Amino acid sequence: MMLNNLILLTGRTINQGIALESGKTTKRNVRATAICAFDKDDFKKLKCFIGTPVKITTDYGEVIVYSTISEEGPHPGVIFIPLGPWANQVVNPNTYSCGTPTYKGMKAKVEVVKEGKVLDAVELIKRLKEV
Amino acid sequence: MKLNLKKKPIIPLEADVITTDNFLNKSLDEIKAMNLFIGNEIAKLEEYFDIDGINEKRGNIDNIQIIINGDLSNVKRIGEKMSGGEIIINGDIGMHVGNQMSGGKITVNGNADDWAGAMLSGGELEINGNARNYVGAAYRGFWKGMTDGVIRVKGKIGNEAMLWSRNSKGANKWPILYCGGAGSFLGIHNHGGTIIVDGDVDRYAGADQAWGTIIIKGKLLKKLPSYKKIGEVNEIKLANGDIIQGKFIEYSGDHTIKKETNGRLYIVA
Amino acid sequence: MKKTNIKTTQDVICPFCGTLCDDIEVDVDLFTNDIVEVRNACQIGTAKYFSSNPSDHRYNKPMIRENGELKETDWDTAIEKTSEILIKAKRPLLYGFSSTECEAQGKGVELAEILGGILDNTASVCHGPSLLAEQDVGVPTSTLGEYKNRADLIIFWGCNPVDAHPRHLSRYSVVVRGYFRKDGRNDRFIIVIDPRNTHTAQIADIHIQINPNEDYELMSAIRAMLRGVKIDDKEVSGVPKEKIEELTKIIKNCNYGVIFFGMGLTHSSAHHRNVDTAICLTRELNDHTKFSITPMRGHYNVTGANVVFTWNTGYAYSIDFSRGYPRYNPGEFSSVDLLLRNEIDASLIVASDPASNFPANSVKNLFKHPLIVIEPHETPTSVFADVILPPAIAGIECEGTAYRMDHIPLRLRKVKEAPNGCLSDFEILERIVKKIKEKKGE
Repeated sequence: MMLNNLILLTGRTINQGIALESGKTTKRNVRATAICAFDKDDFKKLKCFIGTPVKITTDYGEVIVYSTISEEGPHPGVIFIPLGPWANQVVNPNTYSCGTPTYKGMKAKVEVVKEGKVLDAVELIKRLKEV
Repeated sequence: MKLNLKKKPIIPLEADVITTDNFLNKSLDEIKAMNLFIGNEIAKLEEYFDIDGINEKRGNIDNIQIIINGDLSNVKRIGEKMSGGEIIINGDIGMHVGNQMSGGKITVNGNADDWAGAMLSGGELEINGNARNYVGAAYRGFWKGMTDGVIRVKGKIGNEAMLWSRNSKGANKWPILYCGGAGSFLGIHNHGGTIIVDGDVDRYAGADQAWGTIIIKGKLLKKLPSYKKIGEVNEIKLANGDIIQGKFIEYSGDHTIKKETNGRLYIVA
Repeated sequence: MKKTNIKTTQDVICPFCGTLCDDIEVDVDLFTNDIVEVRNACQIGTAKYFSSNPSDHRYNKPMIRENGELKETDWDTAIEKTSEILIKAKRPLLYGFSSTECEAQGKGVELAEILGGILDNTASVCHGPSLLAEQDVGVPTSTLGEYKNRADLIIFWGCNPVDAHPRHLSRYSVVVRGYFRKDGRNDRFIIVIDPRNTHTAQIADIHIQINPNEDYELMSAIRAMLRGVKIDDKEVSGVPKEKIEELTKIIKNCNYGVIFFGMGLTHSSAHHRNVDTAICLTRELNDHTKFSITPMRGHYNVTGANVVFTWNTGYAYSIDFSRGYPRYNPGEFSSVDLLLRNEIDASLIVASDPASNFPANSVKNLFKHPLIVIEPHETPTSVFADVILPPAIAGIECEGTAYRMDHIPLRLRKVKEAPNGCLSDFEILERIVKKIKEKKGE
């Protein structure tokens, strides 16, 4: 199932914070940071279980993360990925000459993946090295 | 005087030495030996440019014409602080072209990067392609930006053009920008600049304008809520006396600054 | 029972976020040199203390990459290799500095200057826009202590302290008794403006669920209303005009209001102009009542990096030394932009993890050139580095000064010894500076 015309926001969560201080290359970090939180009603439209990997696509890239229902809803039409290497595959890198990338507000679409898995941090970043 | 770029620099080349003022009364050999800056190293001008022509040693800057050919998109600061004469650039140009210019004319037959015509205090800058962000803007921390002179961009410009621009009625200074389309925050913190856009404009046009005139001959993506509609006009009289004909809707703003303001935004009807 | 010898240190400053809590208690077992208990810190601060204990992802010795593999080496060899790489570079980048103490930050300035390179810190991707705005319009601000004791109206605009600065609410802004706010939470009115119903919004008195990316419009509307102007629009940013009028009335009529703001403003497309208009709003509210504004700084010493860089060079971040003197221009000399344009030919990353925090396209270019990290733990940046220099963790294993988000300097304590192979950030940078000066014949 696919959802279009969503807006992607990124930011901090307490779990992401604990994970990154406990070890950025650990599985705990993947579970805390490689996720996308959906509004409860938006999630129903995806017709999948919580934790199913989904592919997020923006004008700037795509990434596969675990899906979850947001504790901070309702926010229909808005999806949230914690700041980190997964979010950074899809954020807008343009700074418009102010120095800071535009990490929030990207137009996004989401689909449930049939193939592909969530990579851990080092595997994900390794792809940037090989290019 | 012709300069042809020999090789495109991989990291930006700072060529603030290439101005009519600096070339005035200099011999060809003196010019070839001038310093260009690339990263933390210094290169001689002749390492990056082939130089043709005779430098007229007539002592009058208005007779100096420098033509520069090549893909100069990674060459910064050409024409910095120029006070007279002419520079013609046949190619794309890097950041800061014509910054702090007080006289003379620079023509770019290509696209310009950020900060084109920043801090302009006179003269003319013409860009026959697009320009990026901060056209005619103030540098970081300055509360006065473009104070006089004309910038014409045939194509589209980016964000925050004419930041902190300031006119002076008493000194007859009317900074003015013409462009074919603009990004967001056009005329932010405007204090008397005039901007005429022959195309569409993104959000936040006229943000925090204290006074000045912004004319949009296309569509404005979204008007700020702090601008109020006044009515319709058939012609606009600019601060410097020029008249623009056409049916426009007149808005006053930015009312974040003042309850009653002379600042105006016009959108074609 | 296992034999232990616990040393308790009190009044410890937590080296995690910009709230810089100063009431932490840490227990160290002197036999094993392990941290065994942390009291008063939030979950994240506690995790940071425990992460200093030995583990399979803490570096104990310098490492150099040979034939594609990271191999342990000694300090002299690692410093020699580092200096070779940096001296050869035409446009080296020194980035990070926000999770270390002020003396080390000062050494970083010296190093960037002698290299003629670029000096930048994490503000570049975080509150850099706030600094840009402050440079344009100033900032009416105060200290966290003043807010705790006096503020009766708190606005959290585009920030979520429950998740990012967990103890901020209980130490300074919401559920704490102040000198003039003796009834704590009941003496305060909390407004949260955020597109999501965040954990912070869930404890607020009013939550304005603004449309994402439309903060600037709402602030313009409020500022115009403050001037006594009736706006034309029926709705702004998804908020009906009547609600905006009600909000304006509430904030005008408090005794002392504060705006705390975060990435909701700096990471949206209007970036520094969001902060610019928020500062102007705060300034204009002082025509009606008393109001201040403070950015919620992320790292515990990013404010320190800005302060130290400023008193040394005149500029807070994104500084270029290539012409022999410091120049400042975010967008031109900021790390992400430089990397996107592939302008950097060597990087030294100190106390930071750009591979995790920078957009993917800039990380690609970071990896194309020699990469040196001063980093205690394995991170997505360090695993791809060419040289790893393991430091003692500032604020846990070595002393130093850090600046809180409201610019108050606090002295970080040393609660335990660093692992044997580690040097402090300051010492590492000093050795590099010395070696480079030697090689340059100074």
